[in-house]
Amino acid sequence: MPGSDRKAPYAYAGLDRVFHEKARLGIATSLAGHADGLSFSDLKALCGLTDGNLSRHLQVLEEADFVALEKGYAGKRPHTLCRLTDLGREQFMAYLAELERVLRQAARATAGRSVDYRKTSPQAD
Amino acid sequence: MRDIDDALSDIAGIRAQLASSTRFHGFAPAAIAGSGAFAFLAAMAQTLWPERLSNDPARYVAVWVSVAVASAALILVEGLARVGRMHGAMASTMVVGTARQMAPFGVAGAGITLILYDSAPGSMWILPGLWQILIALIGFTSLANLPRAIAWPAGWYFVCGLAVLKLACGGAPLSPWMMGLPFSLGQAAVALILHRDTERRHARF
Repeated sequence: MPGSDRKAPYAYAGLDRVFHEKARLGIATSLAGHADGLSFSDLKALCGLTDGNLSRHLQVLEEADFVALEKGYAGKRPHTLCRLTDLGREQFMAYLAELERVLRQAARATAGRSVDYRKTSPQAD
Repeated sequence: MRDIDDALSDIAGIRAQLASSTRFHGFAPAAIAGSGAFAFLAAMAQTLWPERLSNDPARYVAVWVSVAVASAALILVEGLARVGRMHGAMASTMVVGTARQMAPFGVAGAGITLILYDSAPGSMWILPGLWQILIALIGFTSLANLPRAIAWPAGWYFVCGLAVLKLACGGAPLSPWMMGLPFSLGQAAVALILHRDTERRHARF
C-alpha cells in the first residue's frame, strides 16, 4: 500500500497484531528456525511461559492459520508439535520487514535530532 | 543508535533463520520428472547413434551439457512461475537463498567442464562421475529446505558418481547409461518425493 504509506508514513499497518505481542513474538521467533516444529514443552521452556499462557497464545496463532498444532503421542504420553505454517512464515517475514522499517525510521529521526541539536547548540560551533 | 543497530542486526538474523528453515516449494515435480525424461532420451539417442553422439568424448559431453541446459531452463521457468504463487512475500528471499545454495556447485561443474573440454580433452572421462557427485552435494546441502527424503536420491547420486568414477578410472569407455541411468532414476525419485510432499501439504490444510 504505497499510497497509504505516503499519507501516513508512521501508521505501520504491516505490524500484524497477532505477532505484535511479546509472548507470541517469542513463539514465532522460536518456531522460525525449526522447519519441523517444536514440541509444546520445548516451546514452553524457550519462551518462559506457563502451560495455560502458551496454550492461549498458540490458540490465537492457530486461529490466524499462522501456526499448526499436531497432537499425537510420544510413547504413551500425549505430545503436541507446534510449527509455523507457510502462511505464518510468509506473514512473519512481512512483519519483520515492517519492524525493520520502524527501526530505520527511528534511526533516521534520532540522527536528524542530533544534527539539529548540534546546529542550535552554542557549543557546537 | 547502537540499540537500534543491534535490533536491526537481530531482525536480520531472525529473517535469515526463517528463510533458511522454510521449505522451498519452487521445484515443480513435473519439471524435475521432465529433466529425468530428457536424460533418458539422451541416453537412448546416444545408444542408437553412437557414432554421432557418444563415441567421441567431446560429443558425449556436448550432449549431456545440452541436457543439463535444457533441464535447468525447464526447472527455472517453471520454478519462477511457481515460487511467487507459493511463497508470496518470501518469494525473492527464497529464490536468492536457493540460488546462493546451488550456485557454487553449478559454477564449479560448469568451470571444470569448460576447462577439460577446452584444455584437457583426454581427461573428460572424469566428468560423468564428477557431475553426479556435485548433484549429490546440492541435494545434501538443500536438506533444510526440501523434504528430508531427498537424502535418498542425493545418496543415490553420490554412490552412482563414485561407481562411475571407479569404472572410468579402470578404463571403461564412456557409456550413455553412465549418465542416463543415474539421472533418469534420480530425477524420477526427486519428482516423486516432491509430489508426495505437495499432496501431504494439501491434505494437511
